Amino acid sequence: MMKQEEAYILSYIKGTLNKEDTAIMDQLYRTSPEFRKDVKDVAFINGLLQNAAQQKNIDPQSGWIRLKNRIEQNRSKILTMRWISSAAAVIIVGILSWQLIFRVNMEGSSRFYNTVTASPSSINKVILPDGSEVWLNASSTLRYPKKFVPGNRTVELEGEGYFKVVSDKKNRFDVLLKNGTKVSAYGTEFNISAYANEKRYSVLLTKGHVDVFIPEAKQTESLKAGEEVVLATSTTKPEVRIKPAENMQMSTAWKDGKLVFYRKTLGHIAGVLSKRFDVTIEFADSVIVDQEYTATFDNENMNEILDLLKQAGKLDYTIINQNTKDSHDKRTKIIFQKTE
Amino acid sequence: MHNNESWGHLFEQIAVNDDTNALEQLFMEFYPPLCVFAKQYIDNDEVCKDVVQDTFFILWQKRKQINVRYSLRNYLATSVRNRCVDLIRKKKLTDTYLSAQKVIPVSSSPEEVYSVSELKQLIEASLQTLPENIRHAFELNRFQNKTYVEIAGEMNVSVKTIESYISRALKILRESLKDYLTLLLLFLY
Repeated sequence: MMKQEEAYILSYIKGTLNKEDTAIMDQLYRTSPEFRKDVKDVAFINGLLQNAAQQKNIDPQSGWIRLKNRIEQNRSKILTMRWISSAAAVIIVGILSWQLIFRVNMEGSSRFYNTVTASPSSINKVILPDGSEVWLNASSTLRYPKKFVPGNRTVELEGEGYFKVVSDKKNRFDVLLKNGTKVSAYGTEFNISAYANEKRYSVLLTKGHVDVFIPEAKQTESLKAGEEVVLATSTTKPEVRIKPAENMQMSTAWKDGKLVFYRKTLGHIAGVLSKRFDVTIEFADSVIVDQEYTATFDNENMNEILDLLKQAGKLDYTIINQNTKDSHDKRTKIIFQKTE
Repeated sequence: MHNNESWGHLFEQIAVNDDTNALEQLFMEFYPPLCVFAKQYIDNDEVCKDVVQDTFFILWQKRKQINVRYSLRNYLATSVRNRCVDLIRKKKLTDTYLSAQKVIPVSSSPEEVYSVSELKQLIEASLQTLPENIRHAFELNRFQNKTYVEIAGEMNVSVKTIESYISRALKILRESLKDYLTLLLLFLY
């Protein structure tokens, strides 16, 4: 058998050849490029095989359990806010001073009920007959009795509201949503997001304890402080998920007039802005929909926010006043397009 | 390497959907090879496991910030290597051992991290194509570390026959791993 045969090369690599043969192979290695290639190939294969053999001795199962536990433990800590700039996110800080506009727009006041709708661009604060406080986000509606009947305090919400319920163990406080979902508590603080045109409702508990009754799923979920339940509102298959709230401060900052976005896409931001200012937003270029922004708006008006977004670099916008047109939608329309 | 696309896709699930099942899959595939990779730097099994675990933990924590769709393997291997080098530099270990093979120096490039299923694919598929007796002889040599003489005795053939079997097996493996060998060539020269 020729010394160049692979079996010999393998022995050479493993160092099991005798002294003379090894010397011959060394010589061949030094002088012949083809032989060098043969040796490298066999060495590679040998390396792969050794690698495979070593891997067989390692069990990932116990390692995974340790990692999983580590992740679970980390999740249950309350997150602090960290603002990180990266290539994908642009940080914008609104510089205007604090101004909170209260504009109450009461409509449909009947004999026994008050209905309050916060107008666009404003946050409304309502004090209920028992002293409980409710912050209503823009374009959201709260309907409540002028006097609570003994035994129960029921209100109806459409849109988004932050509730600070006065403690009263004898009179349960219920918030009814349009789809029949009911959020119940005896004295606590929570945030409900239930916009008619959104696919998900969420209830986020900041303090205390609430129960959420979901009629379509025929189940009641109990929340602890720091937890959030998200309901997908498809009628065929309601999906219920309880998770630790990502960042309570961020989710409830709206009640102080702030709009807070952390690495949110322009598409998401457009959704929030359209609700807040009651405008229609369209995208002329789909490529910008997924751009991410990190920003806090502290009561800037719409034009100021649009300008800030534009300054961040990759976006341009056009405002169309539709009031003059003979169109169905009389709201102002804004078109987002990419910069040339 | 044809599997990079699917690893990238798994990572997307992790980053976008916070999918821990996808993370588990990734872990199962890359934990063993990364431990073997780390062993090149640090000759302590427990430390290697910790290093690899830490790497996966950081991957999870930073999942929404890092962009490794197309170079997940590189990211993992580089992270592990950097951790190892850090530990060595900080002299937190009293014994460090850089292994070297007799003829070919071990290069510790990220491309050398082959996942569990990749190895299976590369090696076992090729070995399956071998005729029974050749494969048997090869396996005795590779996986049980028997010498050609011992195998010859076991299989009742001459040593020369065994040598020709081994050569045949290696030739076939070389053929089926042709693409990887060329890649290797690109980076050794």
